[in-house]
Amino acid sequence: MTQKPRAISYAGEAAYFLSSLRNLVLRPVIFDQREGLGSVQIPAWIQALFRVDDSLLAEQFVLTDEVVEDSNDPSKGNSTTGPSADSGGADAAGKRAAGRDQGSGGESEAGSPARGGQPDARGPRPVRPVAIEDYVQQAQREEDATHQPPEQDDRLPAELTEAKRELSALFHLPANKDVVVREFVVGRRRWPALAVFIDGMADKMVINTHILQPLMFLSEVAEDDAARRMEPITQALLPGNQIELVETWQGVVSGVVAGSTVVFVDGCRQAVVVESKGWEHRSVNLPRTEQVVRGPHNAFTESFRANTGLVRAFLRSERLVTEILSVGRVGKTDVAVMYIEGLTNKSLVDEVKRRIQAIDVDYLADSGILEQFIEDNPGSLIPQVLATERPDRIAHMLSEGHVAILVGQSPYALAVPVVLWTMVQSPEDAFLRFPFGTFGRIIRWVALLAAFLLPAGYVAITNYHSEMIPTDLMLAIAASRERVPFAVIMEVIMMEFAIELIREAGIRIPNAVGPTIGIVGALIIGQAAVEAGLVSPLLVIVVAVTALCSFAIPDYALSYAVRILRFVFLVCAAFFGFYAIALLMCMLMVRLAVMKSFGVPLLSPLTPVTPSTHDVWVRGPVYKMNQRPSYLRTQTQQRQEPITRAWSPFTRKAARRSLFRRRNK
Amino acid sequence: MPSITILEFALTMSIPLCIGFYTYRFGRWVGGKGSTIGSVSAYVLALVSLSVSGLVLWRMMT
Amino acid sequence: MANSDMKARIGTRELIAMMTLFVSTDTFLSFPQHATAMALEAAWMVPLLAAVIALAIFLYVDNMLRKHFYGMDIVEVTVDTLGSVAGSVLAVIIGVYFLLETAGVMRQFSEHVTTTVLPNTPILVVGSMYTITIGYIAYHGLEGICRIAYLLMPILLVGAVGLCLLTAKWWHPLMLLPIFGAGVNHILFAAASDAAVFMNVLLLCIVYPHAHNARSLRRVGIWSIVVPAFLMAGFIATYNMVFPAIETQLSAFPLFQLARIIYLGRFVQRMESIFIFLWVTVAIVRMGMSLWAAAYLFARGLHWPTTRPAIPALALLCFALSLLPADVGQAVNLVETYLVACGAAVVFGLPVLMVTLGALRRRGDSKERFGRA
Repeated sequence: MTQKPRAISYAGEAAYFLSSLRNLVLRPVIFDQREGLGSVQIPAWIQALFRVDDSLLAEQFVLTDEVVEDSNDPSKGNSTTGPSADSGGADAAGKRAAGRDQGSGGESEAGSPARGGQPDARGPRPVRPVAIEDYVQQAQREEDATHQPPEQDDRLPAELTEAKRELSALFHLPANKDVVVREFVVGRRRWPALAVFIDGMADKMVINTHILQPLMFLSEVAEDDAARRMEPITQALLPGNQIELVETWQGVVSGVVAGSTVVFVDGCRQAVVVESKGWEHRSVNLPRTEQVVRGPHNAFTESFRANTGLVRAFLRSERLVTEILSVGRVGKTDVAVMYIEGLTNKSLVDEVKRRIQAIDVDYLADSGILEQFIEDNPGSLIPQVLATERPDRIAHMLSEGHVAILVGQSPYALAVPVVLWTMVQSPEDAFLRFPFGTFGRIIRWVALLAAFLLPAGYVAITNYHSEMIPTDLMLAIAASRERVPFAVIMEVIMMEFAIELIREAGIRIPNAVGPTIGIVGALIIGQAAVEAGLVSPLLVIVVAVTALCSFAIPDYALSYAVRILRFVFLVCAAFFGFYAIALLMCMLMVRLAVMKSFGVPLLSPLTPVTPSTHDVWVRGPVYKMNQRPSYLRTQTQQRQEPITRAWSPFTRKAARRSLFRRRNK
Repeated sequence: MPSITILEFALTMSIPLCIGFYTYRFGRWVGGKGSTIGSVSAYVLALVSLSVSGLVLWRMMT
Repeated sequence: MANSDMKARIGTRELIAMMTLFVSTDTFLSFPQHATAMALEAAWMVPLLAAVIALAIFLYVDNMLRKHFYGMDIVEVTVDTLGSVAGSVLAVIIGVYFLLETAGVMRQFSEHVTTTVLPNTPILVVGSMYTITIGYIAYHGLEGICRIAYLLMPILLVGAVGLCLLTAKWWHPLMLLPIFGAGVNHILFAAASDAAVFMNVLLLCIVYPHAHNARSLRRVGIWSIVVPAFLMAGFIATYNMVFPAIETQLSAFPLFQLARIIYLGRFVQRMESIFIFLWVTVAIVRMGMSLWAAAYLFARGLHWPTTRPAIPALALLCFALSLLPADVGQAVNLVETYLVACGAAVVFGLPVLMVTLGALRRRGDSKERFGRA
């Protein structure tokens, strides 16, 4: 008897489910997010699973030789995929684009003028449904625009009292103790003046001896026209090496927060921004993560200008251009884009700038955060940007045709685009002679492979392919495993976890006890675990070798990726042995094969095959590496003469032969 | 224990069902782009793959 | 077509690698067994003769395409000659053929896995893992497939040559005698009926517009017929030198048997597990490629704007179709009676027919125009 009501309730639930399914199907996706599905709220990620829109692929950036005419205009966009490519699908895609925006970080809106902060110059916006979050953002932007002082109010006043009042309002003065306003009079004529700077960011010596002293004591000015008082001051009285006359509050504020001192003089509608940056920072020091034996030993530090200077010191070229963009709403962070004019691919530079300019955040703390905003596949484990703390490496990559990005006070610079091989290379490879560089690279490749396959291989062999092992060794393994109460996979995961723990804790252990604890952790725990019968001694060797291998990977981000992938491989190998490892390798390889870093395939020049010098698996002789990597599509391909060791008959002959061969091809 | 196998079958069928539903959405999307043949063929594909996998799973799991 | 997959551009070396891998897969399937059953000791001649047939047909088709339809693929040629409906029908027929082909290969490889590597795992699980992987790979498009083929090419070459050489200890060259095995007639018949393993002829006619350089296509075709032909011939010869031809007819998975007997001292022995990487990865490329080809052809024929959303359903369909036959014997039987037999008609017949028809028509047109002028 109880069967019947239950059946009815089942039927009811089924009908309910079907109706919700129908809702999901029939209503356009865009409305689902605001209204929900009647009474059922289907989570956004499930909706995303069933959303069909395949036009995303067409918008990928591909690095080409073509130079885009007006690259700042996003509507022309990426040189190869114009909007005409999907004229048929543009409408339908557009309808869904609004709904997709929240998930994909608004990629499709990136082209719209609103994001760039420019006024809408391309006529009325097309009428289309807008997701609620976009709507709110848009409203916020409009509100911000109205709150900003109009053009007239931004100009500096002539009266000093008015200037002081506005300064107080701008910097919240009585409360904000960092900002110092020093009032004084200039020379014998006693013109009232004031200097504004931030205590701690400006150099006190510079202010005292180069600004206040000359203005107060040494000034003999005859000018009496109030509006022209600035002329003698800037021309004769301020010995600062960088000064700038500004007429707007915008200029004043950006000067003051950057550490400069701004001088106002009564009666002038201008102010002088005198460069007086001088905050405390670490001096240039040894690299902490990329040490070499042979080669320069200095690293970037927490000073923007010192960092750009370091790069310039290595690469002294008048063609090296440093463009400075600023990112952030609450606090501005300087972002330097460095490239070599006449060498670096122009569309690459434009793409880098386009991606940086599209960042709209309150505050950009570090290059590690910028990296996540500009890389092609932010969800991927494999890094697509090279972060380095070595100025010599940046200089070398600039000379190859890469673009370097330095962010604010970050001691790590970024280089784009990057290929997978670069991340397994160490700068030392180039400084040593080529057989040594090649040997080092081979060791590193073996280490990379072992770091993510060794534990998985151990598990697979002991579980599924034990016939591979010679009988004696197999007996030894079996004997050592006899006392262990766990499955192999449990054992390996336990030990791997212990190693990861030591590694993670090692970062935070105070320096004085760090090495001791590391050794204690590794040796004692391993020894104790074996003696307690928790793990087999062979496994300790496997895990230790794996850990060593993962430390041999030069790139920090790549070694993280390898550590995570190792666990994926481990679990799969425990279930299906070599079969799963082979399948996973294929999946990983195909993913790598289609990934791009700033329009350059991550596996080039290996595949797609592009002509290149020997700099992938091995390090070629430096006198034969005559061409820049062709995947960078630089403006000039040749980086040195075909015959570089002209005095040596042997290499001259070899170079001629290879030149002849290339011509014949 | 037939009830367990039915449950297993139902659970396993959830994957083909999801794929079928996704393909159905694909058909609607193609239809939205103005291709009737495309959308109908996508529906047919969804139906065929669902029914063949249902048949195979049923035969193998019960 | 908005999808970048539709306008992917592939370099020559990647194409050669992909086609070579694609054809070489048959070495690990029932091809050696089939060839030996027909030609006995002379089985190693079968792939060489089949390659000659395939090469002749390929050169004819390529020549025609080059002369009359530069840069067009077989579907476009059909549309041009017989109208868009015929083009759609042709695309769907070839697509279905590729789909069934994928299913057949998948069943055989899944059975290989369950019999050799994972005897306790149900075929449902093994097959679904294959399906997920090939779906993933096909989803990434032609570029991805060709690039991993290029990366895996050295593994195939080193592995296959290594396998042949490492068994040198057991070679008995006399087992290859009599030199003509079952007789010249049998060899020729076997070569003609097995020529369809060189499916790359058809595949090339499809990916023709995707090549980076359409002129290099002839090189791609020749290389990808010659290299696998020699690989197959070498493999079958090795196999027949190690095992008598009579036994070869019965072996379902010769590669595994061959790998199993490798013994070079205590530390290099029982290498069959290492060769898992070889045949699993090659199988993945083969199935991923044919699945992609099926999806691409359906998209062309059925007016889908993109291929990617259809991949899950097609992969599922392959998986289900691969499990339809009751056992592997039936599956191999079905593949051999229908796919290989009809194979020649689809793989060689359709391209030759279409290209010839198209060429005749073009010639007629131009003559007409010429006459009018």
